Amino acid sequence: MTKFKLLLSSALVLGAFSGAALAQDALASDPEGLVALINEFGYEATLTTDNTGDPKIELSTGGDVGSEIFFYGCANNVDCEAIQFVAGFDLENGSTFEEMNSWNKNNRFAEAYLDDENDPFVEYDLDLNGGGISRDNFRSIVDGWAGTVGMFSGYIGFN
Amino acid sequence: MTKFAFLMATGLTLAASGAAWAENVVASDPEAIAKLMQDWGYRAELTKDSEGDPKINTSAAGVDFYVYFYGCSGGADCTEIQLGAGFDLPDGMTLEAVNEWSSQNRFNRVYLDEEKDPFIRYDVNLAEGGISPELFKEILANYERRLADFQEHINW
Repeated sequence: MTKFKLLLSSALVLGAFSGAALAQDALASDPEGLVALINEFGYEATLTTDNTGDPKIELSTGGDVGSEIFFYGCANNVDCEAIQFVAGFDLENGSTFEEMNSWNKNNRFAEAYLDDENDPFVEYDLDLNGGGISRDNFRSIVDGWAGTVGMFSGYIGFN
Repeated sequence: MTKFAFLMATGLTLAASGAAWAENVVASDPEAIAKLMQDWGYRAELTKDSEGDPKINTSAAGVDFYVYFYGCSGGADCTEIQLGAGFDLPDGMTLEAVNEWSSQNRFNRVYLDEEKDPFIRYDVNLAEGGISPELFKEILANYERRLADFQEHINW
């Protein structure tokens, strides 16, 4: 009986601890898991692949502005190590280096830059390797990204 | 004997999951962050910024950098950190060069101040459960590499 009780309590404790830590962590090696989490957070995420066959997530965080999540450090299109949130904006007259600099100086997390047509991009890189991050931490980051996309599109006068 | 062996095994397994879970890196525990950095060989001096929030003075790739804390209330319960370094250049840098760097390099955010001197920063959300120590170590290593590459880029 004592032994049985021990077994039971061990199983319960292990289940509670390692389950919470392992099963719900956000990892770049689990794109399906990330998509499920993002949808659970109330955004729209669809899993697809980029032109090299690596996973890619198409993301809608509200409004007319879409963004994407690219995967990095993959081996043969799986076991990826990092992700990158990106939103690009096709503007009629582009933006300026000064505007990008001002954004980068005054806003944390995402960095802004122009492509060769002077169209602005905003991106944030997230390492999701080595144990990953907790579900709640990932939610906080995705919420932050949604806020960034909204603020940045307003900042550059998109729409 | 069986019971003893079982207790032992349970203790060991719990210790293993404790390492993965209980000691996640969170911005609300600056002492633990400084301690981890010291364990990994960084000079990490925990101090306070001008607003009374925690700040860690450290260095990597031959330059000083800082760990700033954000989202704090009354100097505690912070939720985010920022790794940051700045370079005082004799002639500054151009916005074109910054843009080229930014479009090609991940894990950083670079801007110029009024004197055209570059600052290289990376923000990490360490709220609500935080991240594993292993991942935090990798983030620091990423930033160190970026600092090294950036110095080469600006001929520091």
